Amino acid sequence: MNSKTPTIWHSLATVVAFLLVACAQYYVFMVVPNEQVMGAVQRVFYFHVASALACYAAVGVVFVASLTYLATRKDGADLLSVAAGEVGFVLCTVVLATGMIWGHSAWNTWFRWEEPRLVTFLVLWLIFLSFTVLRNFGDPAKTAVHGSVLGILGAITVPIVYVSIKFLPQSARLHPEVIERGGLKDPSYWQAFGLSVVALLALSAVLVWVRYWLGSIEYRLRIGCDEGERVV
Amino acid sequence: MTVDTYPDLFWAYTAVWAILAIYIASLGARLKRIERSIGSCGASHRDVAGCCDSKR
Repeated sequence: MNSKTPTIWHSLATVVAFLLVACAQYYVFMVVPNEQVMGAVQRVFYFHVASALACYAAVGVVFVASLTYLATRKDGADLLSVAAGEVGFVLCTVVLATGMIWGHSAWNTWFRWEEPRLVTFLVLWLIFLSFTVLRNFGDPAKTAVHGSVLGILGAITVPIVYVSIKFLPQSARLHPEVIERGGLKDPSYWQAFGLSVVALLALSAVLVWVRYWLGSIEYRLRIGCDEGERVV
Repeated sequence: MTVDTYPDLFWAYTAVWAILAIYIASLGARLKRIERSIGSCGASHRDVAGCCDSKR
């Protein structure tokens, strides 16, 4: 069988990823106790932060794949960059949506423009929105280099998102720093958080894999037909 | 008194699953489109280049 066709491993990986997500959901809703100050909405934290970490991992793949493409012009690296960038954009959207809903509950407003982490993350989302639009609606043969540069630009934004909040004095920081400040005292909080991170990383890896597989079929179809046109 | 924040929790997880479902549906639509374009010439996704050859 051709190695580029879906195999039993694709299906198995998908089932494992969804089982991990189901386990994480069970832990978040059935095992973890309610947080004293925030109440039930604190449970948003587990998928919000896990999605952010999975998003950063996807952006890391975009960075490496884009650099590889610019250095070697290998089409496989470009296909991987497109797949990871698209999944990164989806996860970025999840982070923004859950963060805004949490913010509405905690701050009584959907977005705070004076909070650098929120604004820099919005910039990251806009960069990957542009990346996804460019790669899905532009001519694939012409947008590879521009897409790679945009992917690298997006990846550079990730450390800025992380350190942006550090420049503010402690009293002016609005975005919670749960992990940095040694939060999550109850062991079940850590178990639910760890499981959520593993589940979201597994789910995003499967999504990148499936998207890469679809992209490679489209690529072979396009290249095969282009070569035929040249011959004809 | 603890504020009832269950509605926000509900909407947050609805957003998570809606976004993921829309993306998975878009991947399914992309697969269907590929299958239609290469299935019309009797080939399968295992033989994409062959599909272009037969179209010519």
